[in-house]
Amino acid sequence: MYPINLTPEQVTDELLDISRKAVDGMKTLMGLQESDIEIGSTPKHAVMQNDHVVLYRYEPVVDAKDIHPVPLLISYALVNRPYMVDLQDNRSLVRNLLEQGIDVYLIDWGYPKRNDAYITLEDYILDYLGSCVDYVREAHDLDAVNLLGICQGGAFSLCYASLFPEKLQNLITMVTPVDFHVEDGLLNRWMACGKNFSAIDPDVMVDALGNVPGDFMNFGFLMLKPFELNFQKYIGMLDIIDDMRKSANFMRMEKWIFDSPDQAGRAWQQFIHDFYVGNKMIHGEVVLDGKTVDLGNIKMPVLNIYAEKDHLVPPSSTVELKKYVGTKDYTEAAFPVGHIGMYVSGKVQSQLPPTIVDWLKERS
Amino acid sequence: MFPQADMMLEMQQRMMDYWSNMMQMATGQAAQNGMTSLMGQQMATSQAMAVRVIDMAMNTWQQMADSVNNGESWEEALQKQMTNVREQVTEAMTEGIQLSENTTELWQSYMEQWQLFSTPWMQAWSQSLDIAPKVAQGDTKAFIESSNLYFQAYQDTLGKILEAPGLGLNRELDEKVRKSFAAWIDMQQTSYEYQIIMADAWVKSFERLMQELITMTENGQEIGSVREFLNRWSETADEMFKDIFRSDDFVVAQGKYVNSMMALRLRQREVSETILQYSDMPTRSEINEAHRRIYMLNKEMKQLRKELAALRDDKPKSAAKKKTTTRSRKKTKSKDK
Repeated sequence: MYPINLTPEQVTDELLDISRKAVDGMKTLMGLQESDIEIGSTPKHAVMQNDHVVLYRYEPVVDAKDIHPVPLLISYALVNRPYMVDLQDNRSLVRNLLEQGIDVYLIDWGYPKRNDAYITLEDYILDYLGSCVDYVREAHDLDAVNLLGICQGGAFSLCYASLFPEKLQNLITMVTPVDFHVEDGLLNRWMACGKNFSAIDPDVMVDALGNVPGDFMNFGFLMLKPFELNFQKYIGMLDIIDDMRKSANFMRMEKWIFDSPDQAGRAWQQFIHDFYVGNKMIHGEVVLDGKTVDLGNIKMPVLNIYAEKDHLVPPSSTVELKKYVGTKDYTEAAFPVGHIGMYVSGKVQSQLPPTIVDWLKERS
Repeated sequence: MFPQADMMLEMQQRMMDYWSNMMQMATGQAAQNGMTSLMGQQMATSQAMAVRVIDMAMNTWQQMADSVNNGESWEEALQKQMTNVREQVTEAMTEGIQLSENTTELWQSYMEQWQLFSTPWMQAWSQSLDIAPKVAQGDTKAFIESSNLYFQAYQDTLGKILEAPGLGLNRELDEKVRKSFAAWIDMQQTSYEYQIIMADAWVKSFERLMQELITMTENGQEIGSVREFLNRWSETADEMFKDIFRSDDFVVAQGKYVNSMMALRLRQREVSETILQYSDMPTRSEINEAHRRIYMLNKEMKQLRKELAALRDDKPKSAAKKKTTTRSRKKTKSKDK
């Protein structure tokens, strides 16, 4: 008759136990400093700066003779800090790539300020990304380098690869949205992609705010799974709160999640209009500085990596890439995790780097 | 059914206060800083929500069970309880937002909010007129006194501006304030519509949870712990909210709400800028224009630098000169440079 087999006393005991864990957890938290939850700690140094964008090169961890001759440039999304790829010692795609002999560069897009509100997608893709590619080419005396684009950074990479295919030897996209009008994506729905009614107006937002606040973006992401991300996660934290290391790992993730840069207004506006609402990339209608992006120009080998349980970038969006690229050497690799799990899942950490490295080395 | 709920919540709050005091003593700074403080707050908030949900679910279930014992079916009992829950949730979420039909009341309500956000530049400006001659003569103290007026002006309200006659500003300013008021009305309305949908989502998620409990009863299943109950509730609620968030109604309501907030911000900016102009202070529009020009100049400089470098090195202007082989590792030698 009563499916909840709990007496008030049992509930009280369990909640008291939860509270006891919380109190013990406070002691753990009091023992943690901000320096204990640093992100992106793999040694690197800045090699180039273009406005607020900085290009970093990671320090090699293998002998010079064992370093793969073609470096890999990582282009992350704008909406979060790129150091998710180097979250902590045992959760670092960068570190794993370095250990397998890859020379790794990372673009840090920085924190746009109010005076950056006029930066456009052309600036990001042709100037910032382009200058980083050119720097790496010049530094290594190469015609072409390898490029890894992640999420929105993958969309940027696809555009760049379409316009400058001769500068890329191999292209890797990871959890990258390609078709922005798939029905699965909640973000797509919120921008009323493909619909005949209006939703959030990016133009009035940018007029009013200049840059789109990182907090606004965060709020949107949290609302995709409001109870899991705002409630259940913190109840679940109690199971690990007495472990200093696990607590630090948890809080490192929290730090990354909420360290969201503002989005440069014009670039954000363009991205929403052209990619989300217009879905122009797959239709060959994205125009950057007078040049039309045609995914069919991508003739270099492509490795398209996606997460099967991705709620931010549905797999149905990512796998569409196969239809549009012009390369005959197209490979897909799927992992049974979510969007963030691609970087933090222990299982993926052991499988993803060799997937990338083996694929690159076969195409040297 | 769960009378200890309020006691538990009070205990939680006391623990948080105690912990915050300990943190302040230990670190010598406000406990609001740092991730640890935020994490503690999040945990406490989550636990408080958990206690409330358990209390609500158990009370609802008990009332449903009583109805079933009195001969009603589960479906009838559930529907009756959901009606009560919906009324309470909707009232809680829309309290204070529902528009009054009384324009005067609306105007007063709007001005109360406006006074919180706007700066009483006019009072400072009218006072600064007395000081201006001294400032013009280089009287440093007068300059400081004039500057301090504007700092003090932040503490006052904008209400006096609308009451002050004879400033010669009313016509233009009044129109902008009226448009700002209209934008605020629109925002209140869209907020109300948005909250109605959110309240509906809450109620439906709770209703789905109750449905699941009914199904479990019929199948002889049980929930054996608070954590299991909370996990089930969280998963159920996420699923229901996802369904609601995907609906055209929600997308439209969310869009209208966000757009109306942005429109209000723009109208408020118009009012602020009018006042700032009278105070000879730079406005957001002017700063935006300066930023835009700096951006354009920076872009032009970069292009010129690129062309200059190309001329200096006697390179072709195009940056993407194709090499003889596209797959070769090394660049071709100097003859192509």
